[in-house]
Amino acid sequence: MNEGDSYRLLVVEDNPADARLLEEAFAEAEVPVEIAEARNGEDALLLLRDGAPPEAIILDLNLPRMDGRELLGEIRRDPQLCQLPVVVLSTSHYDADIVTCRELGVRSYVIKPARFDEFVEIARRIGQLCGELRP
Amino acid sequence: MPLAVVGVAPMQPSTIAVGADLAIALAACVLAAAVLWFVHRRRDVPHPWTLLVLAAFLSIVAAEHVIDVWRAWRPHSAWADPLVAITGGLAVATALVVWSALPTMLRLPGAPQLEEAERRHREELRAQRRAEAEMRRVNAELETRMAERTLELERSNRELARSNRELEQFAYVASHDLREPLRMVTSYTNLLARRYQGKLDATADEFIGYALEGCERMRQLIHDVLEYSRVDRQHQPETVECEEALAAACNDLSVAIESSGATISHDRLPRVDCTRSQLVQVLENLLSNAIKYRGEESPRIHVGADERPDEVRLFVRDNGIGIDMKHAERIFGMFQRLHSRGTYPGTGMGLAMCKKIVEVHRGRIWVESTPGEGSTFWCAFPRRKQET
Repeated sequence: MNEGDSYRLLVVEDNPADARLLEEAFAEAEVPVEIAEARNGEDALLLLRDGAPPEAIILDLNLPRMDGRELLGEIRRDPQLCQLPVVVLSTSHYDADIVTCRELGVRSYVIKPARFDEFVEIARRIGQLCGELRP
Repeated sequence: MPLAVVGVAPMQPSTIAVGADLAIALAACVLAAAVLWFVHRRRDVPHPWTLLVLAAFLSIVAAEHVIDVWRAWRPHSAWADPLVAITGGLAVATALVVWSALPTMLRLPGAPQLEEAERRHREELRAQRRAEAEMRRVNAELETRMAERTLELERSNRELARSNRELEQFAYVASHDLREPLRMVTSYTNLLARRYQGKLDATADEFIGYALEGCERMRQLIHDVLEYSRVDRQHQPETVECEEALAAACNDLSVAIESSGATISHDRLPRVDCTRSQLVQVLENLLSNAIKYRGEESPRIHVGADERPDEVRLFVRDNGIGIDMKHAERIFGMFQRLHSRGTYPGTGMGLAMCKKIVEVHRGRIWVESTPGEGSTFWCAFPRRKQET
């Protein structure tokens, strides 16, 4: 599979172990991805505004400096970025977070699973979503 | 001198006698008035009628002397004699009355006795005032001590409530925060297993298996501790139909019921005051235990109730392996298990959870059991005040 076929994703995740796990899950699910990583909302915003926008953002909510909720707000206010599909991948079970994210138009809200098998399933579904979004 | 002469020639009265009679009559009148005035002003005087009789007598004396003066001028007046007779009669009556009142009057206390009585009375008053002051002081002291004790109790109650809250908060935070690293361990062990199982040697597979087992147990424990710490927070009692709660519990356990071949029967069940989801959980835990600790035969479980005036008792009876009654208290403690994890899986939190839920509703839980024959778990929920 050549580089052009890979889905370009931005993973905003402060925990490198989780980011790596997601990467491994994409590999297990055989979903071709090209992942850019940001450890906090500010870095993510810089990446989004400077470079070519990704096809989808995978966003954790609890992040240092600028958290996922603030970043979502920034993305929705920015006319260049507001159409970007966002999948939230968080440990938060709180209804308030789920409602906020829905209001900010996220595609999907996924609670981080404990088992790697479930990570693989999530990776497969993100792959599907990206496939559907491609023209 | 012939009497006729005396009758004809009026006697010349003596000026001194007439003057004396008039003076005595005046004095008697003044005395009678004084006595009457005294009786009128001193309403508290004992035997006032004696004094009134005395006043009457003094008036009679005055009248007598006026009559004497009259007789000096008119010795043969027709009504002088009856008047004297009447005054004489009145005088005798007065004397009799006063005489008969004498013993009572003699009993009247004299001035020194009155002074003594008054002194004693004053002393008694002083003693009474002292006693009252002492009583007030003791009362005040008691009140102060009561207030202090109440404050102390309130303080220790607050302290206890605070430490309970802290403990719950600690359990919540600890278990919540433990989940994150556990998730990481579980995920990566899972990844190892998925990618390398069968590619290393058999021992490696065994080790990975143990690691995964440990992760799952840890996850269950953390889940149970978290649930345990949330019991207070989720406490929202309402009137719940036990039969509905039982149906919900059976529904949640349908897989276990079916695979064990358990039969669950029940009497007509009453309503209890409990948090709905928590009553379901209690029944679920008790039913699940009845299925888990089954004997040789397939589990036969019966749920019933005993309605008392002050509480509603529910019971779950099984034909399982039973419990030695020396463990009857212990089994309701956190993480308490009577069997090895290999024989009967579980975290040892199920009955602790039941106990906490029942006690949050001010109820009690206990067990009656004969080893080898089965157990009966009882939960008593107090009725709300307005219903009793």
